[in-house]
Amino acid sequence: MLGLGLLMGCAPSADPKDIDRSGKIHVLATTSLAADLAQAVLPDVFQVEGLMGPGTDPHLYKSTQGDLTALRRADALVHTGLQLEGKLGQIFEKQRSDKPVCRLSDGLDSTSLIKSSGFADGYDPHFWMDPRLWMSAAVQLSADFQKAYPQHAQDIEAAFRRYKAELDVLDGEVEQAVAQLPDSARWIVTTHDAFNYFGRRYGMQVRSLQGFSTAADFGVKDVRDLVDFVIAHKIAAVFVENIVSSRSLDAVVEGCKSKGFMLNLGPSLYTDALGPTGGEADTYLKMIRVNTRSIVQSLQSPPLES
Amino acid sequence: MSTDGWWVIGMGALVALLCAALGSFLYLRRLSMLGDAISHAVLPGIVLAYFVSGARESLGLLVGAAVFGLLVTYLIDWLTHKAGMQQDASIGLSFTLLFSLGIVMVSLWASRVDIDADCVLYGDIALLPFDTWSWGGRPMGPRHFAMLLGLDVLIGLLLWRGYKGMQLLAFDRVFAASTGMAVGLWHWLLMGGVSLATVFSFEAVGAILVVAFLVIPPAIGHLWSFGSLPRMLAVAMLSGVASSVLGYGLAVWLDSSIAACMSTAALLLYGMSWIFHPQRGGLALLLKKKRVPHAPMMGRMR
Repeated sequence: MLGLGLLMGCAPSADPKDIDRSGKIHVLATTSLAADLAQAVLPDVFQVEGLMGPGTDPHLYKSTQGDLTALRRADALVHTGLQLEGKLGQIFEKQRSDKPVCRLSDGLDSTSLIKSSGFADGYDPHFWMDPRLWMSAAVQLSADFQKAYPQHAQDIEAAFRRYKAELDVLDGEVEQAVAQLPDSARWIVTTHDAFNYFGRRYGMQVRSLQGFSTAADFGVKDVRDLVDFVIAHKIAAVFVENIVSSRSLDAVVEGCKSKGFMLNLGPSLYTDALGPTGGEADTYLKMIRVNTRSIVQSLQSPPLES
Repeated sequence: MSTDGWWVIGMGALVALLCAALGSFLYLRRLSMLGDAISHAVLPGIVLAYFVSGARESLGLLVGAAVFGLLVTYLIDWLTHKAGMQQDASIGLSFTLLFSLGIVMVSLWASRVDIDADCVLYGDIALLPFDTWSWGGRPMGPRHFAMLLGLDVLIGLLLWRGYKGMQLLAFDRVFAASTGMAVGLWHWLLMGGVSLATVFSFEAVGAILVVAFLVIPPAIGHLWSFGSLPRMLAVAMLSGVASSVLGYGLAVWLDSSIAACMSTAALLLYGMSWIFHPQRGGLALLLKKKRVPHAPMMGRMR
């Protein structure tokens, strides 16, 4: 009980009318990717913060007391949509009566989305893997914020145009890089289904061990099926994602080895979260480039059969 | 302190009162882990509800979860009293059975959908102040707070009306039946109450807090009951409320998960109350330098 009064005293006031001395507009985004997009599309007068740090799996995120305060203090909110953030997304939507809320998936045409089940809300949420869809999300963000902050509309438009050019360059780069691979080598085998949009955009086929939820476990049959599959298609490498453990794919590599097929475990790919700040993948642009380089280099080396 | 903080503490207190009261009866019947069992057993209910409604946010999920919460209590009761299995084993068997059934259903039919209790059912007490409702245009505060308040009143009424029956049932099921009272009725009212209370609380504040509050405050209450059930209930409810207040302070101080801090605070309270207990406490044992025989309080309480 010691110092309880003191603890309570520390609780910062969550009054939304608190005026920031620097005059900045605070934007709170859910994932590190959504925060990165907001950072890129919004001019400096907006201060962007992400609830989930780099490397945090949005499926397994747990909020802290500080998040409550951050959410209350934020002037505007950004989330991905398509159920990626689960209940947190629903809470963000409910704040629309109080402050501007941007749902990035609103910028996408439902025909450009990949269905994951027969139900109305069953879409694959990993659309940022296709830079052109991420561009649509950027359009949505730019439009929402220009509408909410007309005094900054020109600056937002300018920043958006700069970023759009960068996304165009990125898209072209990835396309060229993948073109170096022969058709038969264009396979992305990963732990969970995050590369469907990437595969569709750049003509690569995708297969994964798990379903969408990183929480669901994989079975023995999944591993055995994948081993047979990899050998049948002579796939050179499989990939782990930065938010899940490599345990599952280690089993596949071992399984292939026991059948005399030397499968490589490629570098870990970034999917639902950026890498640590200052690292090789701390922005969306870097993340897609690093992923592409990892994929192309690993798949180029011909598989060894012993 | 901010209004948000008070709402969260108040919500913690409502969950604590509810869970401490119900949990005390469960504790006496050696069913403390029922909350944890229900937290797993709801999975098939969620999956089925998803298939019926096709949406991951609906009242159907709650109903599906509550039905399976009740089903697991029925299974446990059947295995214990009809199939003659040890009660702890029947709890373990029942919830793993339903949980695995849920996993199989997900992997068969919904492996490409992100569906599990964590993302579609369990709420988060930190997000409570952001989900509000209004009535006739007037803001009424957090939606889940009102829901829990209603649930507290409902369960309070149930325990008040059924106190005699539940008390007898808690200590001696056979004797209770011999007095001609409707044992089954009170048993199922209690189990229904537990299942409803836990599932709705899961939706409002998440699983860990509910499971912790079903077990720890009743354990503190039992320690300080000295043979009186009303005292056990009072101490349990009081320590539950104290855990909410302390836990919130802890969460602010550490900038950590509020639910985990409230559970930790309850454990700290249990530790303290054990150390300073006059007969069974750590200090008392140290001073007396001999073990006091553990008094089996279960059957003696009236």
